[in-house]
Amino acid sequence: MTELKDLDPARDREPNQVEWIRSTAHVERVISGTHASRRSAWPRRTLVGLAGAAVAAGVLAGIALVPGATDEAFAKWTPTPGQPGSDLVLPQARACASEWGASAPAASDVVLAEQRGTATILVLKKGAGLAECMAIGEEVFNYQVLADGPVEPLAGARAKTETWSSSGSGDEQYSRVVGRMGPDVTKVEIRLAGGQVITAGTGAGWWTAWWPGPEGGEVGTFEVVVHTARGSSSHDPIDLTR
Amino acid sequence: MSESPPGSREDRFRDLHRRTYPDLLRFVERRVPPAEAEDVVSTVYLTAWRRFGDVPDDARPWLFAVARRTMANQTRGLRRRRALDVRVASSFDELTPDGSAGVAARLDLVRAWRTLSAADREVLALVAFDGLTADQAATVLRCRRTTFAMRLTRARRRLEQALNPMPERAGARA
Repeated sequence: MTELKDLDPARDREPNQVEWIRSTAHVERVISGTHASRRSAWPRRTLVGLAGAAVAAGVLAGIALVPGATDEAFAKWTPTPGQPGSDLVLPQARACASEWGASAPAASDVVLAEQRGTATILVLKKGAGLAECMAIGEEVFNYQVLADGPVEPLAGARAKTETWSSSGSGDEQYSRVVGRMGPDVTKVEIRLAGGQVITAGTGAGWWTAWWPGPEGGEVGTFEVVVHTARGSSSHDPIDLTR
Repeated sequence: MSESPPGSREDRFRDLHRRTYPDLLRFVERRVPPAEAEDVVSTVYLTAWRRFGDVPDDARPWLFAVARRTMANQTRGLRRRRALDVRVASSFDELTPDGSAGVAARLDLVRAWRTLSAADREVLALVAFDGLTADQAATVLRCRRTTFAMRLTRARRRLEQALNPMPERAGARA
């Protein structure tokens, strides 16, 4: 039997770092339920880049993820966002501004910053308007204009969705949604059709979230749950564009 | 990465993955081409999560059993080109006699291996490649330990016979 070990096709085989990341990412998707949702028979009518006409000026650019970055971002993704440190936010804000050819922003130009694992979403002032930027480290891989000019704040418990979309393909699709909210809104959540709940990052009247999966490019596969001190209400994202 | 409390179902599953992924990957790559292994391993962990309550403390044999069924289903459903079988290290495919005793012995071994049935190869591989005990291997094959022990004894004997054929038995299984 000892000699038989020579025939072993997997002798000394160890998973490499990329394989670990990919497998760990898969396990996290299994745990979060997003694995199953990607393989469900939900309708797939595309709404990529849909935006509320009042505010969003449209997608500026979508830069492809660096190979391997998606896996790590998915593996470390969390349904509840954290707050990136100031040592990370400003370099990322500068990287974002450099993508759209603007001068280096100040800390006060960062309207909202939220972090899930390795990926950060920033909402930044861009000229007189605003833009949203997604980055890992100082590498920007997606950004879009949210508004070309000043935005009137929402009042009370109002909430709006401004844009939602999906990016990537196959098992590497991810979704983003950005919206606004009035001062009485205490929390915004995304509820996927599979039951998973994602807490949006909030700041200065804006909210945003991203998650692994294609729902941002589909119809009827996620709801926006708006919480206030008086209770909560669920909405189809398209109903909140009005 | 996770907000789950220590000891939660999620964390125990992550720990299971960390402990078993290399062994499971090797187990699968011994039986299907590496390009197909990732899908099989992914399916195994999906099954393990859905049936986490059934996964025993000694998880490896349970996971290997799920992997075998997954590979067998793929073989039946998608490829249909061969039965599930244990592969041999690719270095043996290019081995040519060079007059040395070492190479000759290795060539004899791989020739003997290839005379065995797929079932015999699986029984031997579970012990020699996958490093399982008879109890664990029986779990993988879903049979009794005594049944596995008998099959292992017979497979070893047939391998031995293929390596050292008696004149009157030479070529009997070729």
